Amino acid sequence: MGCKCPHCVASREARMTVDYGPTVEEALREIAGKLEGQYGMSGKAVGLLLLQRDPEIMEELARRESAETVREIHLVIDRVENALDSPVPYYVALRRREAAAELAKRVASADAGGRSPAAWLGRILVHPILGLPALFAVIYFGLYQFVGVFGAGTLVDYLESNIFETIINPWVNQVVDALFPWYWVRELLAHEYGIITLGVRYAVAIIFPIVGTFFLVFSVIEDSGYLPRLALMVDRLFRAVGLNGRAVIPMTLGFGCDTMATMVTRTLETRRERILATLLLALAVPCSAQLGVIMGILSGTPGGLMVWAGTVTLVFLLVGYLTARLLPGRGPSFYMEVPPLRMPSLLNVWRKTYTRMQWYFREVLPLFILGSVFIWVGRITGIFTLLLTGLGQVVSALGLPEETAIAFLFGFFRRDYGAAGLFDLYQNGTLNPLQLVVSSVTLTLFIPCVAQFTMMAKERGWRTTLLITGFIFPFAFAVGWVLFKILGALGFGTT
Amino acid sequence: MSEKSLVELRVGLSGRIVRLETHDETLLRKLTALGLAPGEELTLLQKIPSYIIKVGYTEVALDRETAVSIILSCD
Repeated sequence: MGCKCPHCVASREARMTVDYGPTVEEALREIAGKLEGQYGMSGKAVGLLLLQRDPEIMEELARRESAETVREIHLVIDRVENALDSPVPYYVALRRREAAAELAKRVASADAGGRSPAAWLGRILVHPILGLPALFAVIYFGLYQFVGVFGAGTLVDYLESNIFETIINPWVNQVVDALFPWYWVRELLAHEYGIITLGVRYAVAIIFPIVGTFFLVFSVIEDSGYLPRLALMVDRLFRAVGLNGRAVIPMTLGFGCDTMATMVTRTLETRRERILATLLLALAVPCSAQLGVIMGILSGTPGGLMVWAGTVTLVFLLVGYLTARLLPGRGPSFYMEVPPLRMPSLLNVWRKTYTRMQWYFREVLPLFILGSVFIWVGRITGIFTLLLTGLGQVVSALGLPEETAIAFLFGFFRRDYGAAGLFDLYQNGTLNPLQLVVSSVTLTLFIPCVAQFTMMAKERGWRTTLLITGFIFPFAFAVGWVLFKILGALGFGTT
Repeated sequence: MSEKSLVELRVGLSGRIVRLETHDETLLRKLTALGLAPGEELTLLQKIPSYIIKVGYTEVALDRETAVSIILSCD
């Protein structure tokens, strides 16, 4: 009979069967006997899925069996549900666990564990106080220094000024001008707002390095086992705005690129959470392109950065809190496995980063190109001129010069462009400190870029997107106006 | 032997799961999949900022609302 050690016995008994108890076993035999169609698995397996009312197999059943058989099988399912005192899926899971535990007892031995340096570090990272320095270190070095300063600063500058502005763009402009005599065709493809010179450049020179560095850090956080720890550290904070620790993933991604983050809200469990996260990303999470320029503008204004950060955080919490109260349904439950800490494998990190970059380009690049086309249509039809006049009046009410309207409008098509437009106004002295703070806050709240807007429509549908946008536009200006009044009354920037 | 919910357990102590008191079927299934099934013994590792428990070789983080629904028997 061969070796009798538990390992060999277990491998001979590899076809493990689970005893589901008389009620279920009898029902399974009955169902298997009634099935006529082919399902690619045993009758027992089909029966188990049917008893758990698996929606996919239910559809298959309706397609492959006669109406009479379907009716009979439903009667069996009803009978089992009435006979058991817990839901069938739960009951099935329990029986399987028992069988697995029984098997494990025969073949596995346990060591005490829990005393290794990794286990010790794992405890520290989730400690309510000792865990905080680690949390800040990850955010500061991983996100701010590596993604913000290195990715969004050094790499973007290099690609933009050394590659696109000096080599690619002049060449594209020349070729397009030589090929097409028509002004509007040249403008569509090249020059300031063209598909290649703006859309592709934006995706490759600005987004690629930011998102690439971000995905790299993210994969390391994920692979080391820190991500669930991060989620459980911030669960309570997110609960205040109707989300839970799981939302830390799209929300942190938002500081890299809000468009991508909006797409990632797919991973949230309920529709309610997805709407809340989409709204907050659009309203109060500035992307890295914006963050860089706003920090540049406000660094020269004492207290400006504080007022900006304070206002945006307050809006995030307040709007999140109120919307969570307003939306029907309740907050999601939070449960997550906390895996042991591990040294991330370089190969894994590389593979994940690479796959995500591929996916990013496939999903987001077309949206940037669309953005260029929108600008082109806006200019060719004269809609922009009309919008600028209207927007000019709104910004005057916020105590801002009319030139800021251009920054706001174009900010919609290139989120950083709006901030860069403000930077120009700041450098030639058009804006005073008060106006800089008010316009930075308004611009941060005001606009998701056109790529994000399109992504919102794709993920949440037009109705929700228009509702969110319809709220954000007036709200952003209202906050700007209130801030202008309050700071003005306090004499901000006059000393 | 008395029954109490996980939120009433002191950090560092253990208890045996008696039942999961929730009507949310998805939650039931997910918790069971994580190893939180009746009969299993768990140890409460911490409560703040989130509940962390150890069941077998698995550590699971939970919010307070979920912890309330886990009923234990303790010596």
